[in-house]
Amino acid sequence: MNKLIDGISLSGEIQIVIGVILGILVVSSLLFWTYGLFKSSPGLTELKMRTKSWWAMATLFLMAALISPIITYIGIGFLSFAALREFYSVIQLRRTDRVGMLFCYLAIPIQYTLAYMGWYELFIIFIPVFMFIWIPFVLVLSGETKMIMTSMAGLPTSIMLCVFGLSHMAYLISLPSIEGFAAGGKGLLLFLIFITQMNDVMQFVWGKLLGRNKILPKISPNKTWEGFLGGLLSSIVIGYFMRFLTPLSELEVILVSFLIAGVGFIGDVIVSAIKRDMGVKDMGGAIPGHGGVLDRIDSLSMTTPIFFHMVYFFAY
Amino acid sequence: MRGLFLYIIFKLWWKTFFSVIIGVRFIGARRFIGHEQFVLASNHNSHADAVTLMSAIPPTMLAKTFPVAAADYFGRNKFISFISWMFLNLILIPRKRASEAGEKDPIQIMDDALKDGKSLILFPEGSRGEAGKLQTFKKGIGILMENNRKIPIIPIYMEGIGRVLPKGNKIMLPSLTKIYVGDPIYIHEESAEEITAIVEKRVLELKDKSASFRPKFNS
Repeated sequence: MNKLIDGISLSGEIQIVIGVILGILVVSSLLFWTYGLFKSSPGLTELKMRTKSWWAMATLFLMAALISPIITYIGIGFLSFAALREFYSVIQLRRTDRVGMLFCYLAIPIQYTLAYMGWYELFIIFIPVFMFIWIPFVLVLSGETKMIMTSMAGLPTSIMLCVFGLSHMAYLISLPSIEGFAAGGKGLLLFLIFITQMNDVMQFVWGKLLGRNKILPKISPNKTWEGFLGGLLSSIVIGYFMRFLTPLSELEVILVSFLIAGVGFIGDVIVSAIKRDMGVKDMGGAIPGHGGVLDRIDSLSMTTPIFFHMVYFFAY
Repeated sequence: MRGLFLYIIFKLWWKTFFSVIIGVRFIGARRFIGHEQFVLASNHNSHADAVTLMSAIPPTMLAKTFPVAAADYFGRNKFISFISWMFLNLILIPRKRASEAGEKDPIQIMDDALKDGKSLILFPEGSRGEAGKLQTFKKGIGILMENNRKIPIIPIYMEGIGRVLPKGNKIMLPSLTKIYVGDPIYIHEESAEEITAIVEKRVLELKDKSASFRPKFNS
């Protein structure tokens, strides 16, 4: 494809997609803003918040692409940090777990440096092997065994959820280039974020339009079978037409989009269940525009590693 | 010069550090603006409290605002008391009131500071308490403010800062913290006991307000 704008380090494919995304953002922001003038509802606030986080992601992506890819690594790394901080502010841990928490925070710069270096072998085992041995050991060293089981499970889960999964987004950019595939790691990253977020939006939209049968009423009362299946189908269709961002064949793209949609749902309900357990479920007084980082990344933290390894398997 | 130095430390460094890394958010910080002089009364959970509050003081007030701290800890030797003054702008007071002439009286020291036109940051609980629990306020704040009726008292409740640097812990960790700044209290006819009670009540109101704003999630 030809470039729309010459002289910037983005391939023609990515320029088109970014143009489309910016277009969608401008139109939807204007739409919600005008609609909000007449009538405001919790659903609209939710939509506005989603649009806001979309703007942030688009800006981050553009800055990274235009100025320096290092910004992307730092940006995604900070996203991990903010999510982990939020996680620890909500879950109840023991006073003696603070050393373990410190090491979990320290895992972030190490993991993202490994992604930046492109050291695949260590990147892929650093958290699930080394940290998973080290963190329980540090907890043991604190000498307090009461409730240690909860902490031994909670801390590794926290870095798996907030650091390990998301860091694959950074590694996508470090992947070596494939001949004849111009969009590269940036294209893959764009595809992943676009499909994951679109799946969220489409689940929401289909659920609002047709939602009748609740899928997991105890965990997420707003989720319905209709929304889930609608999101799944929409994601496959959107993914099919966006396949020029990936080096995958048509059949592979359909499979990958299907998995992103399914796993995105799984990530969403896993985080929902944790929130419910921690008693932060009531949305009554939620301040508009201040939804948590975890709300934004719950599906991404699961879709990212799945997408990464599917692409790694098919194309590398 | 002193103002510029404190500006660099508190506004450029600590404010950025606390908002970006630790995750501190002020709710109602504009209530600090527009006073010639004030007394802040806050709950006390960690050593990070005074620094966090200083970082939210308007730049022009920085050099005139002094957190009040215990002399036996922050002045236990010359070096530490120098650091306390240089980097934290602390005023040090003894914990006990003077029993005989010649001793320094804590209320007298604070009173002199207020008469000098200085603003103070007070922790009326006296010492750092458990996170999420408010100890009974000491009556010192009432006795002090009884003689300084023109100065507004700004109540503050800090929620979550006890998890940043808990008492008896050396590791500072990030944790989402919200700091609620209440409307200024103006004193008219009240007695010392009444002033203490009013301040305590207003801080408790902020605490209740914070409880209705626990971290919220959607879906």
